[in-house]
Amino acid sequence: MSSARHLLGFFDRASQVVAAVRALQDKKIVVTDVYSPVPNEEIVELVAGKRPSRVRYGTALGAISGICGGLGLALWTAGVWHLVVDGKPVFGLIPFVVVGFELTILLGAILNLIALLIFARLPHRGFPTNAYRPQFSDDRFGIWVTAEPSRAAEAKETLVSAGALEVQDVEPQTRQEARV
Amino acid sequence: MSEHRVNPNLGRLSYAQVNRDILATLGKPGKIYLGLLIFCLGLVAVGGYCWGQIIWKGVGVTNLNNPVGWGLLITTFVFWVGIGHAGTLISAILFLLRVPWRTAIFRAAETTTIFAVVTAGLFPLIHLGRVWAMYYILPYANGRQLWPNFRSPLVWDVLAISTYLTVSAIFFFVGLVPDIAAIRDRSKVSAVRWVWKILSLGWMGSTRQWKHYLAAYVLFAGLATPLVISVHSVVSWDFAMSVIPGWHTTIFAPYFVAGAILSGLAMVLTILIPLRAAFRIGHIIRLYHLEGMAKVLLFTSLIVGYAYATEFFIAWYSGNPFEIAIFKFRPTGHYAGIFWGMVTCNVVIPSLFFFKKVRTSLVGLLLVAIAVNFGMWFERFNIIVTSLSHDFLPHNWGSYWPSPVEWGILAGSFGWFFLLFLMFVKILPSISLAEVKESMPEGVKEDAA
Repeated sequence: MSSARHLLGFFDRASQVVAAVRALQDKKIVVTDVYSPVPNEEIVELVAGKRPSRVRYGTALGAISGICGGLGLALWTAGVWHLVVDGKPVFGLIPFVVVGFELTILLGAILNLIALLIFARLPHRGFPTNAYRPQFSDDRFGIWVTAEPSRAAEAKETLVSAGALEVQDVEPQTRQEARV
Repeated sequence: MSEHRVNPNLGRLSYAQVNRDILATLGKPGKIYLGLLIFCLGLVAVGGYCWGQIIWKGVGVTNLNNPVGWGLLITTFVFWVGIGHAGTLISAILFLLRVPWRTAIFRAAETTTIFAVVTAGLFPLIHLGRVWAMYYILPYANGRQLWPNFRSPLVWDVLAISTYLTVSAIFFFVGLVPDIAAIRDRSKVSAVRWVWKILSLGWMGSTRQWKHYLAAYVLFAGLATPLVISVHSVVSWDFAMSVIPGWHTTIFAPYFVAGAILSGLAMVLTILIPLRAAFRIGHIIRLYHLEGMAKVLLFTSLIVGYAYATEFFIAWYSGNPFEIAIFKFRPTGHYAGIFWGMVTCNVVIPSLFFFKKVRTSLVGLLLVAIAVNFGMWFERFNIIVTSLSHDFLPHNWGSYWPSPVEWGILAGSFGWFFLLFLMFVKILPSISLAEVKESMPEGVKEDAA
């Protein structure tokens, strides 16, 4: 599809975007991306699929490392000198749970952030893509469609009939985008 | 658009109007703003001078002495940590519960959290006197194999507060990214735009970005929710783990958490009401949002009132003469004014929120919120100082009243907190663009707004 045409439809309502994406997908026209000024789970599911984000694996890894690391640190440091303080047990599991808990949250949150950056590909080095417009952080939604030249008119008509305010031609910026 | 998150009370605003009106708050500051900024800087200078006195002359310049070794500085530490609780409550717990009125106010609440915790973190350092020795409590690797005692609640406190600050700051920054992108896209000066471009991480609101963002945001909220409960529980254990009468009680953790949320909500209201008036954003932060906060404030005030009553009941029911003595001393001893001020400001005055007329009056909301701010400081003072001044042995009893140096540091902390907040509201949007838009009914055109 290296000679494919790239179209960008502008919308002002999320419900129109949902309708347009559904119509395009029904016609087997590729929706490359959707830009949205607001989070919208319906659009995300339609375009990126229903498979849950993998960010959660990073969070789980952080949380497990945190509880192991926190308890391990407290137990190990208590064992270095074996000092009895205030008659309390040297290996006091109940107080050490506090340390384990705090590190669970801390590392869980840090790895959650790292996983977000990795999977969402942030910072985005190719910013802005040729399809991005400043209005997409304001009051417009954008649907970026990639279609064979023979089907570009059909794609454009689908966008317009779903309520697109405007449809523009865009040039893909990277080879990866052109390959879609 | 998720139907359950649509908030009809936001009225007929368009997306563009939300962007324009919220980003207009970042415009050129006026004379009142600059005056407030200078006033806060003055307070910070006073606080800095007083802290300098402690460093230069030693903790003798405070009135801390036997038997009261924890006074105004620790009182104010606990007070500011408590203030920092509303932000995460509103941004995490209310997010998970899908409470619609949080969207317009959570950014201001999160900011309050960050700056309150930053302010609170200074107090153990100030109280330490020899601030340069603070690293002793950190679990750093060292050749002598000397480690902090992880059975000590003071070490838990260091871990809890630093975790809370880190997680809140991450949560806060992640929430800001889409809004920073909006600022970037409106920015006309190339150097400034370049800074926003870096801070926005190249955010475009693409499907991939939103997908992982939404997942991460829910997980942040899920992690922050137990954290917000744990932090003030840990702070309460600084006291409850000791054997001092009036401190050694199992009710402290829930009592402190409820009090923290009460004080945090009061501070957020104290900030939001002047903010919406100054920036003329009453159409975005509506009475509906403030009333929602007032209801939660009333609820937490009732919990706090219940905790006050339970403490007295348990002291009597336990038959422990030391507990009974301290609970007789609090309302009748020489700190009785503080005790009754606490009860009045935290229980009696907030009960005015039972009346819708007060909940929906800006003056009423502000006055009650300010009263609670005072009341919560009184509560911390009442818990900390009265117990220490009246322990087991009558010949050990003593009294404490803060010195001018300590009062100066208290004033400086307020100056520092409000200085940070004033600077924030002119640099970044104090209301979330993306979430306010998400909660709006869709399809409002610019000309209809």
